[in-house]
Amino acid sequence: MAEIILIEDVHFDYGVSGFELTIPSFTLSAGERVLLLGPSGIGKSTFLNLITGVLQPRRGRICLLEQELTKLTAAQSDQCRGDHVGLIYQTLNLVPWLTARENVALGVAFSKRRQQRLHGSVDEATKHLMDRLGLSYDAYGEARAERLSIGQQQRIGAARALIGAPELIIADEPTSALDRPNAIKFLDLVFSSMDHNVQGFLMVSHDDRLADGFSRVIQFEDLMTMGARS
Amino acid sequence: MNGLTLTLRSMRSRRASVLLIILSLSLSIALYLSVLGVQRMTRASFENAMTGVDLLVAPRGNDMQILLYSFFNIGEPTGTITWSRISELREIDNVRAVIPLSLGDSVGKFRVMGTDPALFDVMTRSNGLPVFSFEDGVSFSEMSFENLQVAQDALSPGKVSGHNAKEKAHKHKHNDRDAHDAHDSHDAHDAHDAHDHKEHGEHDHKEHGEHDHKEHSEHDAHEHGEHEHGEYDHNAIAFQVVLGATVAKEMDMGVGASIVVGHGLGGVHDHDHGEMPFIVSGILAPTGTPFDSLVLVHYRAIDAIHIGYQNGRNMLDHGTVLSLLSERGPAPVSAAIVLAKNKLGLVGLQRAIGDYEVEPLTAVLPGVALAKIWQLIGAAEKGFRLISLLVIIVALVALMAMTLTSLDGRRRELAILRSVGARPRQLVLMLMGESFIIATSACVLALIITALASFVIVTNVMGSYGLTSHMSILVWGDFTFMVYIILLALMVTLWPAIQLYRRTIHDGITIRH
Repeated sequence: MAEIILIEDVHFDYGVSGFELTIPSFTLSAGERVLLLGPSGIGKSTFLNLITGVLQPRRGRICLLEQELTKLTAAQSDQCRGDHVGLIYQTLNLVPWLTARENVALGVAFSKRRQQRLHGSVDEATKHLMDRLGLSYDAYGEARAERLSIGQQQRIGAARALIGAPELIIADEPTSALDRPNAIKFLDLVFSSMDHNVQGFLMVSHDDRLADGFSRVIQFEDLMTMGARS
Repeated sequence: MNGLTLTLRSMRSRRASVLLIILSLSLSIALYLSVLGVQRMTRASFENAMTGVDLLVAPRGNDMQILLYSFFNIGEPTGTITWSRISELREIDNVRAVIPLSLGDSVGKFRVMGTDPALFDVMTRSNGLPVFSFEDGVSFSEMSFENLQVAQDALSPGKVSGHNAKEKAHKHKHNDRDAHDAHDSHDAHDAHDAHDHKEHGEHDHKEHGEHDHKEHSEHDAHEHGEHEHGEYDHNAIAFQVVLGATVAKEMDMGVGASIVVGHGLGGVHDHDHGEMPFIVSGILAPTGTPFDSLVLVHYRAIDAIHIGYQNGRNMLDHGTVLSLLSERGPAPVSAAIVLAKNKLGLVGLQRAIGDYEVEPLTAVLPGVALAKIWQLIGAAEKGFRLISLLVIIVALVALMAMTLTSLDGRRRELAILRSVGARPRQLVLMLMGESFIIATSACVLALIITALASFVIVTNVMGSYGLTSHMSILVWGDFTFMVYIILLALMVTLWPAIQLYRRTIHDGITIRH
């Protein structure tokens, strides 16, 4: 399987705050579903910002689909993220002043590549994903994001991450606001909507009860000391 | 979905604050544009109003004050010029015409000006066209004392106010004869009436004397056209009045209407000249000058209504008044318009008039006096402009404050946009786009407000001084000013934009609450 993410000997620090993060190695291949477990404040968000090209490491290599993010300009990194990464947040996942349909469509608004990957129009792709995630397009398509329940918002957030079939789906504690049955159901829906031949899934969480269904579960402390290769 | 759509949707979600900021900015811009526009229109209309006047001559005094009271009906006359001086002015080589101006009475809020009927013929604009034309009727005629006597006898039983007089005049047109035709053939009728009236008048005066005046007046009134219900045969009337366009419109009067002149200036009169009412002979077409707000009568008519006038009423009978009027020469006047044959000699003419020793006079070049007025009020104008600019700055600061405040509540939205590939630069552009839309909308709204304000100002404020302006309140310079406002709005958004850029770089794709 092709490597979607490749990290080698990465070191990052915020300078004055004294926070440091070192990742000896990490890889994620197409079709893999990786759960990264760790407590709050350990550096999970910094890690996500590094692998999406928002932050630049002091040293080391970070490759996304064989593109070395550390050698890209800021604009190229943004473009690369828009083209290849779909992101699901834990809560407050949506732009409140857009409708559910518009929030999903936002996923391809800044990426021509993802637009080209759509089968049909943006609306058709949106409808397909919403229906597949159990949220009727006809019933909720024009609903304002802020009027949806937390669970519905999470599914709209997932649809936005999945539209245009980005190679990497990153989920930052997406189930923290859901009870366990709904969290599992949500993850099942997301997994079933992915193309496992080309897409990889990386989720950071502090809840190890969600480990079922993941191909790898990595403790963040282990990642920082030993690294984690496929 | 593109950046513009997202910007518009984001603005729509904050529509209350966005609309308020657009409103405050547009009001401040409209205030500034209105101040500038009113200044321009005022100057233009004052300068237009002076068209055709070469010199204004008045008793020695301040030239600005003379200009204001004698021509713009602002303030009161400070002295008089004797008629012999007026006659002497007419003898000067370079003088084409001297039009006396006699001020002091009023009809409602409008001033009465005694003048010479030549006024309507001799004054021309810079393009050679006459200043005056009649929308209806004709000028008041030269005074005919034979007419006066009989006419005033005819009017003496009662006075008719101007109210509803137009209606009466119209009725008169239908029932009796066409008033316009009557005035068109005024001279012919005059000749006939003068003869007729003279006979009656002399006869009555001799036979009945002053003590029996009332009785014979009633008889004469009937003989000379007064109807039982208060209408008059207009051809019998020698006391005529020409109304400026604004006066006719506001008082709803037409040719043939009757007017009673109030004694003194001001809107409320304790005393009037009801014994000697006037009949409207003509309505002037709008001139865009203070003449639009004047009631114009013959200067001798002003003399007539003041002979024997004491303690709010005329103490003399009509016969005595008319006798005295015919015996005496014209009374002193407030000022005079002097028209020169050769404009190049105006300064010399001004100096020559100013050098009169017997009766000190001041000859005012209207343009020079106006320039002094503008200079005098220039500081106040600058103050108004400055205050208006400050109001705009306050509105722009409010725009900056609103943008800055909104950033805190938009960190989540910005992080989501970044996660889907939006660059910080694009987010900054969206923020600047918001300011552009707000400033442009405010400018468009300001244009509408300014246009409405100009309409109100021109019709209500300037109109009360008889001034009108055909000039647009907006000029191209104002549009340039609005471009500057839009640029300023973008500039004041730069700081929030820089803040946004830093935050999006710092927050990255991590949602902050």
